[in-house]
Amino acid sequence: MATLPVPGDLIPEILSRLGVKGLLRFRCVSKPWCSLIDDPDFIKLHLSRSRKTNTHFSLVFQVCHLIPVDFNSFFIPPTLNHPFSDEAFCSEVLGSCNGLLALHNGEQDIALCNPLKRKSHMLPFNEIKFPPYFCFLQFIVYGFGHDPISDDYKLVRMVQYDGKDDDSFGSEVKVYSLRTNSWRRIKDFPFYLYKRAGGYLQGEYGVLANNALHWVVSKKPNLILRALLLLLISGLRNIVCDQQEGHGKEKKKGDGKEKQKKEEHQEHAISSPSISTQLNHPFSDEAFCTEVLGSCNGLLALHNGEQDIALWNPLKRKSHMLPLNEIKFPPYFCFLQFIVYGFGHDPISDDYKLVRMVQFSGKDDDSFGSEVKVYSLRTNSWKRIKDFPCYLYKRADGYLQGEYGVFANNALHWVVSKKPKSDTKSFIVAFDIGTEEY
Amino acid sequence: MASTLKKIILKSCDGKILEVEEAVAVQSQMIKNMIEDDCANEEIPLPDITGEILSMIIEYCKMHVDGENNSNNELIARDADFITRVDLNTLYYLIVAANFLNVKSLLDLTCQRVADIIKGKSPEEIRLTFNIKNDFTPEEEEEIRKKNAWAFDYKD
Repeated sequence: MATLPVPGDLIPEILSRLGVKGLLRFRCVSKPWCSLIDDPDFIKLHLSRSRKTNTHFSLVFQVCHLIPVDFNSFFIPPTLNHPFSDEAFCSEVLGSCNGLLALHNGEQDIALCNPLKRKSHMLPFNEIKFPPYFCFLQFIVYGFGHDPISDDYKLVRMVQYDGKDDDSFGSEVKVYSLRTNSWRRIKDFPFYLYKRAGGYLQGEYGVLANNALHWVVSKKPNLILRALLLLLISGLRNIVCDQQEGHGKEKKKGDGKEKQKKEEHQEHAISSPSISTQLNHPFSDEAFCTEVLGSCNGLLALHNGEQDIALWNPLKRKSHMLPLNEIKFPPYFCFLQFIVYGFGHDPISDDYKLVRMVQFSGKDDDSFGSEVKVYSLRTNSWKRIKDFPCYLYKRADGYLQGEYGVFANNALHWVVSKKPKSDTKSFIVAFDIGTEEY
Repeated sequence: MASTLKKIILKSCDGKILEVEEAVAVQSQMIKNMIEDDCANEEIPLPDITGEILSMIIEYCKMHVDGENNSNNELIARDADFITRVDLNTLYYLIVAANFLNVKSLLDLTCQRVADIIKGKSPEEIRLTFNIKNDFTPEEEEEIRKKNAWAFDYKD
């Protein structure tokens, strides 16, 4: 084999293009290579390169087990071996950032896990101190993020109590820092965490954007319609000082729009008195809750709960109604089971596409059928494509809510199984938005 | 335009002289800096680059200047065609030259090529390829291997 005695200063350039597994293996090449690969600056170079070139991406789906998907190979290991995988409870992903996952075992243990390196770190145990004058523990919400200034990963835990009467509430907020490996209590959270109409707060993890975590809140309990878009922590690095100043809210005004958009992705149709921009979307006058079907490049696909769908650009405050498209019920299928949507952008044809998958279930348990249609913004029309070959995965609780396609690498992804009722054998299907193939 | 017609004269280490249009030559950040500093009026000697390698680099730069209006995908396809024609020995000289001349896109392309070549290899093969001496004791190496045993099944 020909040798390639590359000059030493180019070695990081080359190695930063390798996958994590290769790097872990090449640690034993020599001492200089080992210290290079373990060097924090090299790790950062590798991370920023991976991010820029969209390589080494993977999605982790949470279906009781955690299912990782590697985009390069599309190889799906059975399940992720994470620290809680042996336990009976479902583990929950509290948040993810730069490929690190914050996991919770359903009891009291929390761990940070790097699925690519297959390494994890247990967080020190931290008790919730119950103040005597509050009666009910109402919510615990988490947020996980990276602070580029101190180069630290932080996990925020907010505990909210309800008082005896409807209007009183209290909170305890603690921040864990990976660098110091410790928790510390910060100023209480001055807002009331927003509760969905159904009473659920599930899935309400902080949304990390622009180095800040975002939650949807309201000033008081029972003020659901006037819920504020939350603008509390203006930068993880300022987590403490901002809260102590209590002005996090104002500080946000300047860049509020961008954030608001993100926030809208989570919760919609809420007015935001604090930044005084009511979002006038096409369905805001209607009684039904509007649902966000998907978002891409700042465009949102909205659904009014009936038959109308619109694409909406919240920054331009412009919207476009999609032509109505009836679902054709095949005669031999009995029940309309699910309708799922996915929204994305195809860079090749420079077109935005919305995918609608309708799934019918047949008379017996094993039969099912589907109708898949794709709307193209460029042609402003729907067209039917090949049926969906798999069965959409249903959660244990029977809900499929929130199962919009996850858009990444120009493909939409859904969790599916080959047959109904084979919950354990679920896998991921990817739909290429350009070629319109699975 | 006068500037596009201006020629830059490059001299390789084996005495080959190449005239290059300025628009092509400025793909090299090093030459661009020299032009800005007004040091490029006479021939530029390139002590470590052979005529063969220099012609390849100029071919590559021309391709990028001519292809400016092409779609990104077309350029990627051409890059791939260019780099797969290169053998390992030439690849080594290309990397060194691209680094010296500071042609960023070519350095990216060549480094990526090396990464693609080595990614499925074993540590022993890596040492051979890069001519690296193993300075671990067998015990130390065993220790490191044990830590990430799963990474040694070579399916990257």
